[in-house]
Amino acid sequence: MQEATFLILTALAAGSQHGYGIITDVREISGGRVRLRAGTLYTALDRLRADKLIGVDREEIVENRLRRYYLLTPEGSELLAAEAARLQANAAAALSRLNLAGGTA
Amino acid sequence: MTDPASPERGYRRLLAWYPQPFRREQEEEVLAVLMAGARQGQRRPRLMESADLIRSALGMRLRPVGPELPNRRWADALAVFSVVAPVFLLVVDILYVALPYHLPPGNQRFFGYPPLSGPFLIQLPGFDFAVGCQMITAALVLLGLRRMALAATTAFVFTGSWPATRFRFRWSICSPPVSASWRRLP
Repeated sequence: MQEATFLILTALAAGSQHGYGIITDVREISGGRVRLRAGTLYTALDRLRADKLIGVDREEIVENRLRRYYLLTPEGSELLAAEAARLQANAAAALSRLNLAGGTA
Repeated sequence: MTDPASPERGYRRLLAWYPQPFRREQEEEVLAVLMAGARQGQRRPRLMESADLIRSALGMRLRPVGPELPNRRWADALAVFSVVAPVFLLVVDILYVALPYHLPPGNQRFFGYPPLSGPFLIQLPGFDFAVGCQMITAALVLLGLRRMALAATTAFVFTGSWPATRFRFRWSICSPPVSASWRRLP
């Protein structure tokens, strides 16, 4: 899974969000490192919707502009949980070996 | 009317690159995101933002829609093929004619049996028609108008009993756009 996809799913993990909300949230989650542009975001959302990993929650009109809120589907939550566990296991392995290497140096 | 000092018109122009079904459903939504991200006093789309939108739009045009092949890799491969193939055939046919002009007579054999390439080909009745058909088909596929490409292809094949199309144009006209059009049909 690409990092941007992972971060988008993470942004939706706690509740539904609209497009601009996802962009600001992804920036915050990544500590300002990942700045999604609209084109990239909607390419990813389009694909995630086609794969049924996210769905549309509701629509709102705010200041004459359309906002569409997206939410994770059960399949999306499952996939995100599996990916997070995989990354965590890899990170734990890396950290433990680095500690080991530091101890023997 | 949109405010001429706002980047909205520029954004709409960029959003026109997206396929029609996407625009119908999401143009206003994406525009809202772009306007929310626009800086104070910004009058037109920024360069990187524009490049990102065009790349995303072209990517969507290459992607299959609706229920089709179960395997995404095959679906992606078919999508790319359906765009690349008609353009490739058009370019090859143009080269078939243009290149022999620049080759010494002895080397013309390299590009096939001489009477089927170069100046001879261009003299065939119906040559302009055949290349014109391919240009139209390639343009329709690139514009994402798959149904029209299929309709045009069908029409070309039916009128394709033209003398020149008996050689090789018949196949190059009809084969790739059929797959392109078939892919987009619901």
